[in-house]
Amino acid sequence: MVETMKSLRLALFNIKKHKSESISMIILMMICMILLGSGVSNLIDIQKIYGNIVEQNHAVKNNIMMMDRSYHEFYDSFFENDDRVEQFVHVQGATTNASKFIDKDGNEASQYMFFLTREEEEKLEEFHPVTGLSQEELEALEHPLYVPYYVQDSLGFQEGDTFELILNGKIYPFTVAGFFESTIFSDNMLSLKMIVNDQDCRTIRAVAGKGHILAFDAENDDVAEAIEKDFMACVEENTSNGESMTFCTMLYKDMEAQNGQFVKLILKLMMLLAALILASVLLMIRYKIADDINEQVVSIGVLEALGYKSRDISLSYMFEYLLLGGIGAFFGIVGSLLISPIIFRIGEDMAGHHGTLSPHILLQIGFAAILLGFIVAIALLRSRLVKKYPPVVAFRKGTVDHSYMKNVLPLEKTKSNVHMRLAMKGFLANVKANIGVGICIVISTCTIVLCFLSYVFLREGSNALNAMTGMEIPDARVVVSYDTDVYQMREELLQDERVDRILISDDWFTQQVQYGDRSMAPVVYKDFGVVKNIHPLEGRLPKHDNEVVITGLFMTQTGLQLGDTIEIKLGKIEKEYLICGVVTGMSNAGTNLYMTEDAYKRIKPSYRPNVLEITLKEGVDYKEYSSWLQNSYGRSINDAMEDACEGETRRERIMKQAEKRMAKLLAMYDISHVEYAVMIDGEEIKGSSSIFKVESCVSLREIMETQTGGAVLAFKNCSGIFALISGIVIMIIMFMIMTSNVKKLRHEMGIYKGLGYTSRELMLQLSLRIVPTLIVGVAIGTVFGLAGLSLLTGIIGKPDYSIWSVVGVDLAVILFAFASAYLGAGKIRKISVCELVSE
Amino acid sequence: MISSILKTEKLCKSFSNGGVQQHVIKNLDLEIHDKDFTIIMGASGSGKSTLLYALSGMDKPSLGKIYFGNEEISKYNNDQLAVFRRKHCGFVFQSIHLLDNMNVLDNVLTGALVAQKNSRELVDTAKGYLTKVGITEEIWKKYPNQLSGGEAQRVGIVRAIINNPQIVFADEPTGSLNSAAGQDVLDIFTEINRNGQSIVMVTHDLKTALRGNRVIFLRDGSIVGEHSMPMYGTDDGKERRAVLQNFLDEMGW
Repeated sequence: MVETMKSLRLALFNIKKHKSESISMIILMMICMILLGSGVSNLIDIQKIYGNIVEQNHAVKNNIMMMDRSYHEFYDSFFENDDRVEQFVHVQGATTNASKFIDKDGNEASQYMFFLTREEEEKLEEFHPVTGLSQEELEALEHPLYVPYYVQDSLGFQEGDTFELILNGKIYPFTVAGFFESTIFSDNMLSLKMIVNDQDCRTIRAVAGKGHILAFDAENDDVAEAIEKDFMACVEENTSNGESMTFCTMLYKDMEAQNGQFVKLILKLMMLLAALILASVLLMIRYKIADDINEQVVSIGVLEALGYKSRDISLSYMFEYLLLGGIGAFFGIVGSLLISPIIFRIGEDMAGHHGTLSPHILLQIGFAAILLGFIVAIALLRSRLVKKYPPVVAFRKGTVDHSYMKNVLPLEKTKSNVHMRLAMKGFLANVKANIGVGICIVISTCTIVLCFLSYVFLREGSNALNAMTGMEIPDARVVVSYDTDVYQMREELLQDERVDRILISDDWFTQQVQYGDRSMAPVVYKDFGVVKNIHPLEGRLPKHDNEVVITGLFMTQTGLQLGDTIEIKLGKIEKEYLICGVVTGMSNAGTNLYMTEDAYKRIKPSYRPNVLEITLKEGVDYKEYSSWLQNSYGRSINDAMEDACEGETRRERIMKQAEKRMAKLLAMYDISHVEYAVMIDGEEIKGSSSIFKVESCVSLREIMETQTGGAVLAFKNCSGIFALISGIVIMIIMFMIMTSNVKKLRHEMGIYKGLGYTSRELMLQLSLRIVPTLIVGVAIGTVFGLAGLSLLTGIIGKPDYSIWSVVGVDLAVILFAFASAYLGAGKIRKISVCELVSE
Repeated sequence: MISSILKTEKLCKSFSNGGVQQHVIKNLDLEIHDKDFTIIMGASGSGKSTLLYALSGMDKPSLGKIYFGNEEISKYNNDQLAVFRRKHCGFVFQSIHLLDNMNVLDNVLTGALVAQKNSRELVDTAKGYLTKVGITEEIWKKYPNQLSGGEAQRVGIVRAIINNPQIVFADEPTGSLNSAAGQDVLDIFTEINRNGQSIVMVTHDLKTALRGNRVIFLRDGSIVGEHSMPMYGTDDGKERRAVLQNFLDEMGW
């Protein structure tokens, strides 16, 4: 006990003696603990959010959504007759291909939506809307609309706001009545669940289309997955058009894993950064202890002569860093408790759900204890160095024998600056001591370079993620009616000088094919020679009907290689294809399968493209073009049939009458094309059923913007914050090294001052000593950073950056670190020359 | 006419020790004459070294003024004082304070290169001085730990005079040397002084004080006596010693 107190006293004395370094160490530990504590707490609670909501809402856990055209009544029988199904619910609502609405800024935005009545919603899960409106106000609403919290948190709508839905060019105004938690369709990633009254639901269903959700519960997730697989097999068995491939399946375990995946990734990155800072802290402790022992070797000799054991001195170092680490960890936990609610709020926004954050104090203390354990271990291991210095050796300043190093960089050969020469002499005399510092610089630089490249990558906002998707992102994605000849329509639209190019495709994002037991999303174009956003990483894009291209992510997951042959199945047809290329493609979780129309027709002979992907020329306004397209080709058959045929002029009335008749012919008699011409008073009025060709027109670019904008912004900001933290770590490390060096070299600096060297010259000299370590550390860190990036390149694509910009970042890091070192060395100003030489 | 190279007016230097002010130099007026070999003596704690550091620009006075020629150096900041030292002063310490991690030649050049550009002449001058004080070529590559006290102090002196300063300050330069080595070192100082450089030396050794031509005696931070003598070697040694002894006795030495 007495010996422990002796060591503790020594530790306190050392802390007092090295105040600024102690404070720096506390700050590093604090940052580390804040990142770790808040990262872990938030991750735990954000991971729980989805499960808690499912439990609170007593929701049916597994859902399969489909459009009406893919629904058959035997689906219900399948679930009702399967003994493994504990509960089965079938609800019907209205669903839209990406619909437009007017956002809070008054602009048109696109979003998939699923409309349900309250009664239907309550079959799926309990409905607990939260509203600030009174009962009277709610009852007075003509078109009340309840929306998931995402609409409030991320889109900015509040109770009482008007939500204008645009379907087929017509505006349907709703009033936001309140917000609710939903287990499916709760954010922008798949769709948004909108609760409306019966009448409004019927109206939207008539205009947009009917949708079905089949929901079921099973004993556990594995059984649920097995049921889903059997259901899909049953659908394939009993249908001929590959209906199962158009289903949107939402199994509980997948939904739970996917919920808030961006924020989970950010939190994991925070924890990784904490680990890197911890590594820096441990290296700095190692460096500091060795440095301190060297600096105080004579004092250590005196203490040993006075009867202190080397173990006592070792323990004093352990206590010193344990105390500093403990204080840092304490403030870190406090900081973590303060910032965790802010991070959690952002996480809630990104996850689209509200949850509860627990402080997890015990867990944080546990983590702090683990960190302190590392610190104790490294301090004890390093302080064993004391054993090398029995009193006599210590009195000789650690010199065991009189061996002298070679005189490197003799001053008589100085060519230019003596300060540079002296700095390099100083560096070369302490190369080994710089290894730890170098590793810290490597870690920080690697982080900064990666953050910088991420920032550059995300600088263009959603464009960056667009590039990652491996999809063409047209300005207008136009779904045409089933009977429309898309090739003819493309030729027609290409006559318009506003159009740059048109690709022909289909609803590929609702189709799926099978590779083994994996589902893949076919991306089909007639000619890949004209695509602009799909970039081969290896090989080339497909040309022939036996070729496919997979994504880098899929290649990593499956181990497939270029040149491999794979069997692709759709329904009952299975064909072999050669992998002729690998592309960047993060959309659909990297399961995109790129193939030509001819290749796709081998497994889906009935394939008939119904989508025109229109890219407009630079400067053409999408809204204006979309409006023109809707007016020219996008009349709703239902609307036209119910039209009262009113108009200001006779010509208008005649045209509307003609449109009404054409709509009836198309809707009731399975006619694919109608043309009319009327001559009245010498004036010819003519038209065709082309005006009904366009079923929907959305901007995929806008949808991407809506879906990924928040995540991009969050990642971009995180990159900046992580780079800033790394910068602070470098600054603290430099400051600690310089403070320590000034102390260690007090005597030497005093002599220099006596010889007429100014404080500035000595500060420069001391700072220059670290430059070689800095340059090498930054270079290695950059190589690691770029290597780390190249590992991701196969998955996310190659960010568009210039190597010179990385060199610029490196220079900035070196300059920043040098400036920090120079300022840290400023302590030399405070020490009087006589004090230095007269000790 | 005797010209002064350094002059103090009402020079005060105080130190704060646990909140208590300790006045080490009190209103001291002093002139150091050009080409003089000035000896500062006094009991321990009388302020000798403090005065030396103040005069040499190593430390700033608490109050009062110090002039180097007509230039008031007491208003200089630390960096200006450093430049002043490198241009005009040389300093020899009792503990020698060579840089342990540099060999003899580098130690000397460290002092030279801060004031002058490197040149073959500069290196030759350094080597010439070293040879002159008895540091032969085989010692130039040695490190301070490999030198005897006398050798180390002679290297320290060469480092102090390499820039040809107008004034050399020495704080008990023979304090840590044996008698023979001490005499060798004093001979070098005498030689330097004869070459026209002023010397201000702190000592409490009579033999050392005999080398000076002016002895200033300090007590409690004030000058309590002053004694002038002919230049060393120009008078009778025994009589010189007796007169100085007599002066020191009067001072209570």
